[in-house]
Amino acid sequence: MSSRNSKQRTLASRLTIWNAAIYIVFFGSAFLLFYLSIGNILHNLLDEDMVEDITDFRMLLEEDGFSGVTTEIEREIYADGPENSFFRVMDEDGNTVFSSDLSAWDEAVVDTVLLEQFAEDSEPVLVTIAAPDRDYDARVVYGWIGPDMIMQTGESMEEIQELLTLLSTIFAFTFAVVVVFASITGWLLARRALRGVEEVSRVAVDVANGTLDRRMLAKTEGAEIERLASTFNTMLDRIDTLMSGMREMTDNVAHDMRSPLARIRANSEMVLSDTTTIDEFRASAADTIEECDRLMHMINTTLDVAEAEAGAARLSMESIDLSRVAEDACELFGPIAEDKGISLSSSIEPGCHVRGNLQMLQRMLANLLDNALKYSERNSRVTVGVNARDNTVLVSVRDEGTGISQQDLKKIFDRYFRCDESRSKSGCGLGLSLVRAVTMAHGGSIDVVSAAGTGSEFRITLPA
Amino acid sequence: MRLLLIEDDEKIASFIIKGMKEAGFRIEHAADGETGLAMASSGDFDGAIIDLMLPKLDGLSIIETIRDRRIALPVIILSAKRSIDDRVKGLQLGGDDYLTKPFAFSELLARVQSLLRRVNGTVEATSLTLDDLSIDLLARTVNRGGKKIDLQPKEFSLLEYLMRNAGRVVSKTMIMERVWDYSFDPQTNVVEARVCRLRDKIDKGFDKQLIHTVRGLGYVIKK
Repeated sequence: MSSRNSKQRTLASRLTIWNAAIYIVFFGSAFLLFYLSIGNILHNLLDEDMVEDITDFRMLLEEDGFSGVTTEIEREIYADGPENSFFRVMDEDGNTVFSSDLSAWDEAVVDTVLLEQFAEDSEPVLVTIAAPDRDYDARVVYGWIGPDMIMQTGESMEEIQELLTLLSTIFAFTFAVVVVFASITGWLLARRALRGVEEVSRVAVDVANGTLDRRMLAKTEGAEIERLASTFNTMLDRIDTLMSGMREMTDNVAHDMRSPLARIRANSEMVLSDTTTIDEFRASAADTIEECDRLMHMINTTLDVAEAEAGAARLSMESIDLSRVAEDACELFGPIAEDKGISLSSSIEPGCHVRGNLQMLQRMLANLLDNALKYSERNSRVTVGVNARDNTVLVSVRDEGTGISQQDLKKIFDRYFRCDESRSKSGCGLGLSLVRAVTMAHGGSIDVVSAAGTGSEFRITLPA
Repeated sequence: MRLLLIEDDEKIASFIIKGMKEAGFRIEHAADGETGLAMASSGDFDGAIIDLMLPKLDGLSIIETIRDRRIALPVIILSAKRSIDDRVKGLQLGGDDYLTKPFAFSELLARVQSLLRRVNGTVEATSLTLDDLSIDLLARTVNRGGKKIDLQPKEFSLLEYLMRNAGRVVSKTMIMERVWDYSFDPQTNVVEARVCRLRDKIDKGFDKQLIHTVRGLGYVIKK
């Protein structure tokens, strides 16, 4: 268990990682979008500016002539600095007519391929040139400013690129802060949310180590955790009940199994004495078989109860005429009732069908009748009823016998439970367990009305 | 009639062999699944008793294989497993009957005989007679020494079952199964009470008792 734990990350760290990852993805994509838009806008502005320059020069040439153009070029170079921009005026074959100081612009050559396709009066064309010996790229525009006069001007993109680099730096810093912040808050939130779960796990470890009476404290950790805690406590209560039930059951079953074994042993010991006659041998063998059958019956019934408790899924179900089953059971037990002087009567509505397992339902009715007759006195009555009611079938078995005391009433369906009085009678304390298990396996319910001295009535409701 | 017994438990095997020989069967024994399958495939047998838990090859596989090979060998399954599931599985795979351990030998014998009768298509008798007792299965009437005896329906079924197995002991479990269609034995003595009533009607007033109780085993009708 612990080796598995160490390999697997804890839920808290998983949540933290997820939280941080989500922040990174969202923040990263938001910045990327922002960065690309800003870059785009700045480049567009520069392009517009440069195209506008060409237009300005064209107008200048028309109004003031070539001297106006050269004056303006010199003015602009003076303002920007010769390393930040350049101007060149050429004829349509690319021969320079005039240029600004090009000493810092080795890469600012004339693109002859472009010029050849550059028809007169076409719109200005923009290109970006990379300068291996400079830190920044440059934007270059070609445009007609007059007949047979092309202007080439270039501008360093230093400002734009510096701005974008600054943005990236700010982003990187913010990003680092966000990741740290997201991890810390994620971790704290996860720890806080999972504190209740850890408490449950601590209690579970204690319980696993044998402290069965350990329970979760009801704390306000949120409804989900409280629900987990209370479910967990209910489960522990149930385990506790089952454990003590099991202990009691083991005691009972040991007692009930020991008795037949003791009789077999005593019997065989007696027979082994020298004076045994062949008839005594035979009688002893018959006794042994009877005791074995009793043990077998007990083991089989235990298994049947377990099988029925495993639920309907394991039983083959079909449509059963419960009225017939009840009539057959009454017929079967008729002679027993007669021998005991009990009046066995029935009020069975014909044709009440349920979906069920024939053998299980037969046993259910036989066990109820068997019990009713076992605890009835001479001249009393036992009544069996089967009635359809809405979508259910109600089966009832009522007797006027000894009844069940209030304190025993809760335990009668427990396996191997036998009230003091029943210990003197035949049986193994499994009859009612089986009745209940069969009822449950058929999706029904059982209840019992009983008071000591006035008799009992078992009522079973099965879905039709 | 030749029977094949495939059973690895020596004690149970010798117990069955002894009983079957006494009942007039010839019986051969295989102690593991492979030998058993080879013998079952030989076609020399009229019926087989097969245990489910066997060394080398389990009982269900044997049955499956011989059914695949289209061998019409009547098979009774012996098993310590008794859940409804196991029983259904055994019968679905091609077993003809299923008996859980521990069992009464008389029950195994009766099942073998009934299975062989069924398979060999023995013509159903319309009346059964034992000494001066006779029953008419069609009219459902009973006569003893020329005197008509009135029986209730279940009493008649019980008597019919005893008569069909005349001379053989039938257990309470078998009676519950065949007469009442109950696959279990309510511990209260419902069968005993019924046999008492039947005995009152059949044997009372006659010198010779026909219905006998065999302690620990069951009941038998015989001269």
